[in-house]
Amino acid sequence: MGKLASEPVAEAGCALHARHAAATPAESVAPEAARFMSARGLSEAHERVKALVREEFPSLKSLATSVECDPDAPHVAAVRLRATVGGPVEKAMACKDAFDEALARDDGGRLSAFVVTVKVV
Amino acid sequence: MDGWDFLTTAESLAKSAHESDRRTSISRSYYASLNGVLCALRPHGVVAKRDHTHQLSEWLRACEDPNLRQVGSKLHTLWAMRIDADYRMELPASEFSIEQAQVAFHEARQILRLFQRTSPRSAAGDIRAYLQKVNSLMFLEKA
Repeated sequence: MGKLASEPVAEAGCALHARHAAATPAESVAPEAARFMSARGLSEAHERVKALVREEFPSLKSLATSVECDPDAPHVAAVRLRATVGGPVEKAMACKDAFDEALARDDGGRLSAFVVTVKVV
Repeated sequence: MDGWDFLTTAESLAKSAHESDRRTSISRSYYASLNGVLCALRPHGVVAKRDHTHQLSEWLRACEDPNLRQVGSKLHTLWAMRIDADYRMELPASEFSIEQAQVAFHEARQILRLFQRTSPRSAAGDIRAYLQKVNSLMFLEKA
Protein backbone atom coordinates (compact mmCIF):
# COMPACT_ATOMS: atom_id res chain seq x y z
CA MET A 1 0.00 0.00 0.00
CA GLY A 2 1.21 3.52 -0.77
CA LYS A 3 2.42 5.98 1.82
CA LEU A 4 1.64 9.66 1.91
CA ALA A 5 3.96 12.52 2.66
CA SER A 6 1.34 14.78 4.17
CA GLU A 7 0.67 15.14 7.88
CA PRO A 8 -2.46 13.58 9.38
CA VAL A 9 -5.44 15.77 10.03
CA ALA A 10 -6.18 16.29 13.72
CA GLU A 11 -8.45 13.53 15.00
CA ALA A 12 -10.00 15.24 18.00
CA GLY A 13 -13.37 13.62 18.72
CA CYS A 14 -16.16 16.07 18.13
CA ALA A 15 -18.38 14.44 20.70
CA LEU A 16 -15.99 15.87 23.28
CA HIS A 17 -16.62 19.43 22.17
CA ALA A 18 -19.23 21.40 24.02
CA ARG A 19 -22.35 21.82 21.92
CA HIS A 20 -22.99 25.44 21.01
CA ALA A 21 -26.43 26.91 21.14
CA ALA A 22 -27.29 27.32 17.47
CA ALA A 23 -30.23 27.84 15.19
CA THR A 24 -32.13 24.68 14.26
CA PRO A 25 -30.60 23.28 11.05
CA ALA A 26 -32.79 23.46 7.95
CA GLU A 27 -33.89 19.98 6.88
CA SER A 28 -35.46 18.87 3.63
CA VAL A 29 -36.45 15.59 1.98
CA ALA A 30 -36.90 15.39 -1.79
CA PRO A 31 -40.23 13.78 -2.79
CA GLU A 32 -38.49 10.95 -4.69
CA ALA A 33 -36.44 10.20 -1.58
CA ALA A 34 -39.57 10.04 0.55
CA ARG A 35 -41.14 7.62 -1.95
CA PHE A 36 -37.93 5.55 -2.19
CA MET A 37 -37.72 5.18 1.60
CA SER A 38 -41.41 4.53 2.04
CA ALA A 39 -41.37 1.74 -0.57
CA ARG A 40 -38.44 0.04 1.17
CA GLY A 41 -39.45 0.56 4.77
CA LEU A 42 -36.50 2.86 5.42
CA SER A 43 -38.26 5.79 7.09
CA GLU A 44 -37.37 4.74 10.63
CA ALA A 45 -33.73 4.12 9.66
CA HIS A 46 -33.69 7.58 8.05
CA GLU A 47 -34.65 9.13 11.37
CA ARG A 48 -31.86 7.17 13.08
CA VAL A 49 -29.24 8.39 10.58
CA LYS A 50 -30.48 11.99 10.88
CA ALA A 51 -30.27 11.76 14.68
CA LEU A 52 -26.66 10.54 14.41
CA VAL A 53 -25.80 13.42 12.07
CA ARG A 54 -27.31 15.97 14.47
CA GLU A 55 -25.45 14.37 17.36
CA GLU A 56 -22.01 14.26 15.74
CA PHE A 57 -22.04 17.57 13.84
CA PRO A 58 -22.55 20.43 16.33
CA SER A 59 -22.00 22.95 13.52
CA LEU A 60 -24.71 21.43 11.28
CA LYS A 61 -26.39 24.13 9.19
CA SER A 62 -28.60 22.11 6.88
CA LEU A 63 -29.44 18.53 5.99
CA ALA A 64 -30.96 17.61 2.64
CA THR A 65 -32.09 14.10 1.72
CA SER A 66 -32.26 12.89 -1.87
CA VAL A 67 -31.81 9.69 -3.87
CA GLU A 68 -28.50 9.02 -5.57
CA CYS A 69 -28.09 6.62 -8.51
CA ASP A 70 -24.78 5.60 -10.02
CA PRO A 71 -24.65 6.65 -13.69
CA ASP A 72 -22.21 3.77 -14.31
CA ALA A 73 -24.35 1.19 -12.51
CA PRO A 74 -28.03 2.20 -12.44
CA HIS A 75 -28.88 -0.72 -10.12
CA VAL A 76 -26.74 0.95 -7.42
CA ALA A 77 -28.75 3.56 -5.53
CA ALA A 78 -28.67 5.09 -2.07
CA VAL A 79 -30.45 7.64 0.06
CA ARG A 80 -28.06 10.58 0.27
CA LEU A 81 -27.97 13.01 3.16
CA ARG A 82 -26.06 16.18 2.32
CA ALA A 83 -24.91 17.81 5.53
CA THR A 84 -23.72 21.40 5.31
CA VAL A 85 -21.52 22.17 8.29
CA GLY A 86 -19.36 25.00 9.56
CA GLY A 87 -15.57 24.90 9.17
CA PRO A 88 -12.69 24.62 9.47
CA VAL A 89 -12.17 21.46 7.42
CA GLU A 90 -10.05 19.77 10.11
CA LYS A 91 -12.79 20.12 12.71
CA ALA A 92 -15.54 19.08 10.30
CA MET A 93 -13.55 15.99 9.34
CA ALA A 94 -13.00 15.06 12.98
CA CYS A 95 -16.78 15.16 13.29
CA LYS A 96 -17.17 13.01 10.17
CA ASP A 97 -14.73 10.44 11.57
CA ALA A 98 -16.70 10.37 14.83
CA PHE A 99 -19.92 10.01 12.82
CA ASP A 100 -18.55 7.07 10.81
CA GLU A 101 -17.40 5.42 14.02
CA ALA A 102 -20.84 5.83 15.57
CA LEU A 103 -22.50 4.58 12.38
CA ALA A 104 -20.23 1.53 12.35
CA ARG A 105 -21.40 0.64 15.87
CA ASP A 106 -25.00 1.00 14.78
CA ASP A 107 -24.76 -0.40 11.28
CA GLY A 108 -24.09 -4.05 10.50
CA GLY A 109 -25.60 -3.47 7.09
CA ARG A 110 -28.93 -2.17 8.44
CA LEU A 111 -28.15 1.43 7.49
CA SER A 112 -26.18 0.72 4.35
CA ALA A 113 -28.91 2.24 2.16
CA PHE A 114 -27.82 5.65 3.48
CA VAL A 115 -24.81 7.73 2.54
CA VAL A 116 -23.79 10.97 4.22
CA THR A 117 -21.69 13.63 2.49
CA VAL A 118 -20.37 16.77 4.12
CA LYS A 119 -20.01 20.23 2.64
CA VAL A 120 -17.86 22.57 4.70
CA VAL A 121 -18.77 26.25 4.56
CA MET B 1 0.42 -0.18 -10.08
CA ASP B 2 -1.14 -0.01 -6.65
CA GLY B 3 -4.59 1.62 -6.51
CA TRP B 4 -3.48 3.67 -3.52
CA ASP B 5 -0.97 5.48 -5.77
CA PHE B 6 -3.91 7.60 -6.99
CA LEU B 7 -3.86 9.28 -3.58
CA THR B 8 -0.71 11.15 -4.52
CA THR B 9 -2.52 12.46 -7.59
CA ALA B 10 -5.56 13.41 -5.49
CA GLU B 11 -3.40 15.30 -3.03
CA SER B 12 -1.47 17.18 -5.70
CA LEU B 13 -4.66 18.35 -7.43
CA ALA B 14 -6.70 19.22 -4.32
CA LYS B 15 -5.36 22.77 -4.00
CA SER B 16 -5.42 23.61 -7.71
CA ALA B 17 -6.94 26.89 -8.84
CA HIS B 18 -8.85 24.98 -11.55
CA GLU B 19 -12.24 23.43 -10.82
CA SER B 20 -11.56 20.58 -13.26
CA ASP B 21 -8.46 19.62 -11.27
CA ARG B 22 -10.34 19.71 -7.97
CA ARG B 23 -13.14 17.56 -9.44
CA THR B 24 -10.47 15.13 -10.65
CA SER B 25 -8.91 15.13 -7.19
CA ILE B 26 -12.24 14.05 -5.65
CA SER B 27 -12.67 11.35 -8.27
CA ARG B 28 -9.11 10.06 -7.70
CA SER B 29 -9.70 9.94 -3.94
CA TYR B 30 -12.61 7.58 -4.60
CA TYR B 31 -10.80 5.39 -7.10
CA ALA B 32 -7.65 5.22 -4.95
CA SER B 33 -9.77 3.82 -2.14
CA LEU B 34 -11.92 1.54 -4.30
CA ASN B 35 -8.99 0.06 -6.20
CA GLY B 36 -6.79 -0.11 -3.12
CA VAL B 37 -9.32 -2.22 -1.24
CA LEU B 38 -10.27 -4.32 -4.28
CA CYS B 39 -6.59 -5.10 -4.97
CA ALA B 40 -6.10 -6.23 -1.36
CA LEU B 41 -9.17 -8.50 -1.50
CA ARG B 42 -8.35 -10.09 -4.86
CA PRO B 43 -5.76 -12.62 -3.55
CA HIS B 44 -8.39 -13.80 -1.07
CA GLY B 45 -10.97 -14.64 -3.69
CA VAL B 46 -13.15 -11.52 -3.64
CA VAL B 47 -13.21 -10.10 -7.16
CA ALA B 48 -16.29 -8.02 -7.90
CA LYS B 49 -17.84 -8.36 -11.35
CA ARG B 50 -17.51 -5.27 -13.51
CA ASP B 51 -21.00 -3.86 -12.82
CA HIS B 52 -20.79 -4.49 -9.10
CA THR B 53 -17.52 -2.88 -7.99
CA HIS B 54 -19.41 0.20 -6.74
CA GLN B 55 -21.29 -2.01 -4.26
CA LEU B 56 -18.11 -2.73 -2.34
CA SER B 57 -19.03 -0.10 0.25
CA GLU B 58 -22.33 -1.88 0.99
CA TRP B 59 -20.51 -5.19 1.44
CA LEU B 60 -17.93 -3.66 3.77
CA ARG B 61 -20.63 -2.05 5.89
CA ALA B 62 -22.03 -5.50 6.59
CA CYS B 63 -18.70 -6.87 7.91
CA GLU B 64 -18.18 -7.77 11.58
CA ASP B 65 -15.04 -5.66 12.03
CA PRO B 66 -15.97 -2.03 12.99
CA ASN B 67 -12.90 -0.78 11.10
CA LEU B 68 -14.23 -2.35 7.91
CA ARG B 69 -17.66 -0.87 8.53
CA GLN B 70 -16.05 2.56 8.78
CA VAL B 71 -14.13 1.90 5.59
CA GLY B 72 -17.45 1.04 3.94
CA SER B 73 -19.13 4.18 5.23
CA LYS B 74 -16.32 6.42 4.03
CA LEU B 75 -16.10 4.67 0.67
CA HIS B 76 -19.84 5.22 0.28
CA THR B 77 -19.34 8.94 0.98
CA LEU B 78 -16.64 9.13 -1.68
CA TRP B 79 -18.86 7.24 -4.14
CA ALA B 80 -21.50 9.97 -3.85
CA MET B 81 -18.96 12.79 -4.04
CA ARG B 82 -17.41 11.21 -7.11
CA ILE B 83 -20.75 11.13 -8.95
CA ASP B 84 -21.02 14.90 -8.47
CA ALA B 85 -17.42 15.44 -9.52
CA ASP B 86 -17.49 13.26 -12.62
CA TYR B 87 -21.04 13.73 -13.93
CA ARG B 88 -22.75 16.85 -12.58
CA MET B 89 -21.31 19.60 -14.73
CA GLU B 90 -24.26 21.85 -13.81
CA LEU B 91 -23.21 22.09 -10.17
CA PRO B 92 -21.49 25.34 -9.17
CA ALA B 93 -17.74 25.56 -8.59
CA SER B 94 -18.40 26.10 -4.87
CA GLU B 95 -19.34 22.41 -4.64
CA PHE B 96 -15.79 21.61 -5.71
CA SER B 97 -13.82 24.05 -3.61
CA ILE B 98 -10.36 23.35 -2.25
CA GLU B 99 -12.06 22.50 1.04
CA GLN B 100 -14.27 19.88 -0.64
CA ALA B 101 -11.29 18.31 -2.40
CA GLN B 102 -9.56 18.19 1.00
CA VAL B 103 -12.63 16.57 2.52
CA ALA B 104 -12.50 13.82 -0.11
CA PHE B 105 -8.76 13.39 0.31
CA HIS B 106 -9.17 13.12 4.08
CA GLU B 107 -11.79 10.38 3.66
CA ALA B 108 -9.51 8.44 1.33
CA ARG B 109 -6.55 8.74 3.67
CA GLN B 110 -8.68 7.55 6.59
CA ILE B 111 -9.86 4.58 4.50
CA LEU B 112 -6.22 3.63 3.92
CA ARG B 113 -5.43 3.94 7.66
CA LEU B 114 -8.49 1.97 8.77
CA PHE B 115 -7.97 -0.72 6.15
CA GLN B 116 -4.35 -1.18 7.22
CA ARG B 117 -5.65 -2.11 10.70
CA THR B 118 -7.68 -4.98 9.28
CA SER B 119 -6.99 -8.39 7.79
CA PRO B 120 -7.88 -8.54 4.07
CA ARG B 121 -8.34 -12.29 4.43
CA SER B 122 -10.87 -11.79 7.21
CA ALA B 123 -12.58 -9.01 5.21
CA ALA B 124 -12.88 -11.32 2.21
CA GLY B 125 -14.42 -14.01 4.42
CA ASP B 126 -16.94 -11.55 5.87
CA ILE B 127 -17.90 -10.26 2.43
CA ARG B 128 -18.45 -13.75 1.04
CA ALA B 129 -20.55 -14.65 4.09
CA TYR B 130 -22.68 -11.53 3.64
CA LEU B 131 -23.18 -12.10 -0.08
CA GLN B 132 -24.14 -15.68 0.57
CA LYS B 133 -26.65 -14.55 3.20
CA VAL B 134 -28.33 -12.16 0.76
CA ASN B 135 -28.11 -14.60 -2.16
CA SER B 136 -25.73 -12.36 -4.10
CA LEU B 137 -22.58 -14.43 -4.55
CA MET B 138 -23.17 -14.08 -8.29
CA PHE B 139 -21.82 -10.52 -7.98
CA LEU B 140 -18.34 -12.02 -7.58
CA GLU B 141 -16.15 -13.57 -10.25
CA LYS B 142 -15.84 -17.33 -9.80
CA ALA B 143 -12.52 -18.38 -8.26
